[in-house]
Amino acid sequence: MNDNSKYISLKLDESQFEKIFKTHFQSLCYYANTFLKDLDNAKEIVHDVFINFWEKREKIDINKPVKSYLYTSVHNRCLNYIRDHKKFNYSIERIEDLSFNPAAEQSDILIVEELKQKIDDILKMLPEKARKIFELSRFEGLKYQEIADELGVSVKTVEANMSKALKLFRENLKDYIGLLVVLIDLLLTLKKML
Amino acid sequence: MNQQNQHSEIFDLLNRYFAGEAIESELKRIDSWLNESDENKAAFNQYKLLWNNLEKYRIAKIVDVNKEWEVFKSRTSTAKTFTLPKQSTTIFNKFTRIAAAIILFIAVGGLGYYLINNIGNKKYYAKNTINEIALPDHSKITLNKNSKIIVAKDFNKEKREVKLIGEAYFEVKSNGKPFIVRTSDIEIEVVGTSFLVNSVKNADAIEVVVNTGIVSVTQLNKPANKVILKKGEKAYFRKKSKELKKLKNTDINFISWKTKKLIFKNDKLTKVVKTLNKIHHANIQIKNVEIKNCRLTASFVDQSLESILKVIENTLDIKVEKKNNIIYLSGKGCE
Repeated sequence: MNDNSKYISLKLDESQFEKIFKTHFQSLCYYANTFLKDLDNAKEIVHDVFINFWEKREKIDINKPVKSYLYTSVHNRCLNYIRDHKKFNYSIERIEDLSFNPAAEQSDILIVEELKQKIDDILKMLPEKARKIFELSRFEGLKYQEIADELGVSVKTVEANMSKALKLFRENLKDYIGLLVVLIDLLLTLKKML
Repeated sequence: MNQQNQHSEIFDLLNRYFAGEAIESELKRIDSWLNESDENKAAFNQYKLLWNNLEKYRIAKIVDVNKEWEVFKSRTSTAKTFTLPKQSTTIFNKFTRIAAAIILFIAVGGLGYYLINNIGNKKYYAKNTINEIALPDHSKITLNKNSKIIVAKDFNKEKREVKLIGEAYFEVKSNGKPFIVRTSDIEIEVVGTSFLVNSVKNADAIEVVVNTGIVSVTQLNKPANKVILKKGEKAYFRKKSKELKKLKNTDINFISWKTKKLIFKNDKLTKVVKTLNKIHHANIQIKNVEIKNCRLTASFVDQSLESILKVIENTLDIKVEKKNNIIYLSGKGCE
């Protein structure tokens, strides 16, 4: 069975690759989405990065930080995409920083289960209309005008309901998020020490 | 009280910003507010954290990691064997077993690899559902119902050639090699772009609509009969007269069947009915002339025909009656 040597010489085998893929895919999508504000294209870019990584896997040393390689690749592709498609989101360029800064995203877990649960609970607390409007905006990605058209209300109503929803989130998540940031930082420091 | 008002005013402004709804003047205001103090900057970053977590929540809910892994594997395997899919998702389920078998096979024998690579033209079908296909060059084809794609045996060697019968939306990745779509009468060539081809068998014309990039459309064996299209343009080839025309695309809903999004911006009812009949395969007829000029502004995301008609009923004060599979619209009319 000498042909097995071909298999062993691969530095990164499929199951290791699968682990890396499944660990980082969602977080990388989130990261790409912060630049593109477009989840479909963000997903495609992350797929491209992994395909590229897969094709180069024999040359990559898995003892080097794979995560920073992945984030850097995604970052570069996003910038190229924005440039090529002149998808000039004025607000991003002006108010936020487009430079490479995944520091906040270094956690492997995109969102801890507890926080996910908390957000579920808060959503249930919202009155039907506000919840529906919030979900159409944040989860379906509709613009305020589109939501207004769809529900047959004015844009002002949409805005008022969004304000209502966000106020509820602000009030109920304020301490929570602060605490979680501290926790995640602690976990990372511990991880580095071990 | 003034503090409170100012407070909520800032939040409203920031809400608009994070939701992507802020206009130029509002962006300027936020910018100057940020530059006022470090406290403002800190407050901004904290609020941003909240929005970020809501976004993370959304992505965690929408992105199915296991499904994406299957998609990834289907794109990186060296060969594909497909059976007529019942539902587009089952391809990937059947596929993981085949993929695993193939990878093992290759590891064991190089001869096997050679054989798999020369199976022949690969065919893809969509019957009653829409089928999404990932090609070896990472391009994507979305096949509409009752359509068929045949991928050339030497796809991605020096060029990338496919044959289309029916309707499909192409998203072609740039890799330097020309991507060619052949239909019964015309061929379409691109390098990296996204566009729609409608070449249904018994229709008397073939249409190509470009979404992004540049596309050239040529009559088969008649290189002089050619048009070059860019974003927002459409080619219309009449089969009988062999006439190839370039037009502006006025149909914003040309890929609604794929995106499931229908957008009407002050469109006449006649246009709305025409679009609905096409996308939902319905037979809607306008009973009286008075309502023909009623205009509709609405967006529908993945809505059934019933719910869309309900919206039309309510917003335009129109009566919807169904008789023998024909839907009749009638009403008093609009201003």
